[in-house]
Amino acid sequence: MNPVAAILMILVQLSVTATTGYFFWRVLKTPPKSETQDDE
Amino acid sequence: MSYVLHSIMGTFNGMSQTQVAHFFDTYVNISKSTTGIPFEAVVFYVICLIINTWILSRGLDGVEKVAKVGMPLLIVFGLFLALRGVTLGTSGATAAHPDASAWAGLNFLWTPQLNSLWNPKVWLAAAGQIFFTLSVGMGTVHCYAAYVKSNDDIALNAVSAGFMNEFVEIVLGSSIVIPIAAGYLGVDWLKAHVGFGLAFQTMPYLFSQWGPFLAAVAGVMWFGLLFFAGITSSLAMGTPWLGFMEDEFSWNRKRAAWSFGLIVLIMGLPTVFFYNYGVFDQYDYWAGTVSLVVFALAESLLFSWVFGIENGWREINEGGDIKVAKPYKFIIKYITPLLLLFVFIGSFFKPEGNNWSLAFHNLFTGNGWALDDSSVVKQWLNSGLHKQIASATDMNVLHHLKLQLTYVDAARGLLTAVFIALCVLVYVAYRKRVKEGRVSL
Repeated sequence: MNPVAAILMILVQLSVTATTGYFFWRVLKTPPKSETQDDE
Repeated sequence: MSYVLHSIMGTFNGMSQTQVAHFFDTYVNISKSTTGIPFEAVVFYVICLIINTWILSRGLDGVEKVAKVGMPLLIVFGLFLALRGVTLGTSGATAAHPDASAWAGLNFLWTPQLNSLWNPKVWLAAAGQIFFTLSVGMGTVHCYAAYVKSNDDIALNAVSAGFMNEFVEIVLGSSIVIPIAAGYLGVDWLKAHVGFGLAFQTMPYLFSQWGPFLAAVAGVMWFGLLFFAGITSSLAMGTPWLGFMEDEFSWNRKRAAWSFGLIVLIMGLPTVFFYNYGVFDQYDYWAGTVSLVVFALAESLLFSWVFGIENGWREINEGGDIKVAKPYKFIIKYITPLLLLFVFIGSFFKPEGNNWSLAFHNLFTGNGWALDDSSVVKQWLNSGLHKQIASATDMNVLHHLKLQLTYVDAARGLLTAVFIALCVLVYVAYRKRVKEGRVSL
């Protein structure tokens, strides 16, 4: 691979993977809300 | 679904890369059969549609249960294939394709072409892709949103779903089909065949290198999970129709689901019968790209300016497990609609060679505005196809192109008819609401 393509690929893939992992972890760690919250 | 069957049958075992690539062309040609079943592609299309409609008529609980197992499996298998894609290197080169290299495929994909940022066609395609994968601009998200309770979280789930989608598309997607195709067939072949069928033209050959048993298992898993990913998307697209007919016309779920199946059957069959005449591409371009941008623009204006950004901001943050950063308020209100407007106008009137400075110079010096063949206007006028017809010398090619022109126009007629019919239905539902006193406007 040429260096520019390799650097771009690694940077993009690492940042997307890290952000995805972070937000997915936040979803898993957030406790579910109670079922009786509808206002309709 | 058909490729699952072929993987079990071992159809691809012993085939060369070129034979596997050609197999797809044979499959989509309905006058030929790869299994002995007449009109094979049509048969599989109808079976797939029946499964879709049946699931819709039964409710989505079953889909949710299967998705909880199927989607993680797809990601695990995707990770495995991505690893293979980025480590394939030049080991797939053969006498037929001596220059084949996965590195060349990755270079093709990741070498920045900053000039393309000025090409509206790129932005239109990117916007169409992201709206399609996130189900924005087609009513699906709105339909699902209707089931969300007022203080359920939207912000964190939306961000998480968006990034998960990006992970699958950018991290896994970019490491599988393109490098593997370039790794076995070369980047020149890849450029000539890039499109919808690429995964079907490359992955079976990769699997067949692992021996008959593993090839069958991998083929069933890969194409089976692709089928499942597709079916969950098509179910999502059917849900707005079901919700609309149930809420506005008091249809029961079964009736709404089977009416959806019937409409999709009528609308979808031409894409199977006349795939080689570009009908599928017409649907994809007008309904899956241009319309998505138009409707997303309308939605962003309605949300920010009609419903009001203050109301919208309250809805986004109410019950949210994270607080959305304030700059997004400005982005949603101004940047998003403006960007979409620029994308749409730019792609509509894209000048010849995408040379905007020359186009404006010509305009102000009285020489008019020459449109590019890839502009929406020229696409609508079939300029590219007319040029091919004018330059065709072979009678068979000429006949094929003329037929293609007819089918292209017919496909657009069908899409327009569906749009008008939906508008009429919405109007009838609105009149019904007024009559019943459910709307005060």
